[in-house]
Amino acid sequence: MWTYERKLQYPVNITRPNPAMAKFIMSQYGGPDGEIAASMRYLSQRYSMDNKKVAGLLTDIGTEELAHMEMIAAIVRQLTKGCSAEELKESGLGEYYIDHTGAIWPQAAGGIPFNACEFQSKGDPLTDLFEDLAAEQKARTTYDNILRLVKDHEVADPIRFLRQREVVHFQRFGEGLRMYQEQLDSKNYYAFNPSFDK
Amino acid sequence: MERMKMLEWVQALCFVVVDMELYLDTHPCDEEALAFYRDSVENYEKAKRKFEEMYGPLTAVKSMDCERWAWADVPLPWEGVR
Repeated sequence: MWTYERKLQYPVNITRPNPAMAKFIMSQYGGPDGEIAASMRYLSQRYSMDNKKVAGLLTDIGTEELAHMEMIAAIVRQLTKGCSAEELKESGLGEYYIDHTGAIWPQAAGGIPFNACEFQSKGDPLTDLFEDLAAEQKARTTYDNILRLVKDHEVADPIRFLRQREVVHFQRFGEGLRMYQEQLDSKNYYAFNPSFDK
Repeated sequence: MERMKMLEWVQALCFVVVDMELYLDTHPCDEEALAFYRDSVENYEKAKRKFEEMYGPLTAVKSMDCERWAWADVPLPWEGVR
């Protein structure tokens, strides 16, 4: 279970709306390498992770990703708050406005809706951990792409925090992979699915 | 704004706890880290208690200390300060 704390993980206080930037940043909510995909990936994978320490790591990182979802939603909300229908249309958010008004809804920057096929839960611990390592790098690349376009420090500051967390999670998953491999035959890690073919 | 400054302090101390938890997940036998974690949790709990005394509950269960349902009055974190 979870307990909600009524605070963000890192402050988001944006005073200058910029709906065009919101359209880009919302990709880290419901896009292919976004925070929803990250959280659902780790929280789904943990059930078949037959190493208690690594299952714990998946739970804790998956939980932190929930807080990142909330931060991205806060950024998008604050960047679009108070914008008129006309301003949203001019910024490229016209179609989004028609379907969602000023709400938060998970989609990629290009309008593709969030889909569970953006992540895997394969049921093979090594396969899943390699996916997790790749996912952290893909998210970091997306944050780098966003940061090249963001000029407002009020937006860049929380985005830099989130980018940094991708780096830390990559490091931890690398350590998790090593811990898992230590319980296998070092001559052949990939002979079978160690959690299924006992 | 005082509330925001103090909340930032709580957020910073909470972050230390979260980051240390991930570290300890993969380094469970690091005694120095474990001692630092204990201090971090203590600092965080202390700051959170002080914040909640001044500005209201951060978790619903803390509304127990108030005479009315204070949870409903706490600002929504995603609204930011404008």
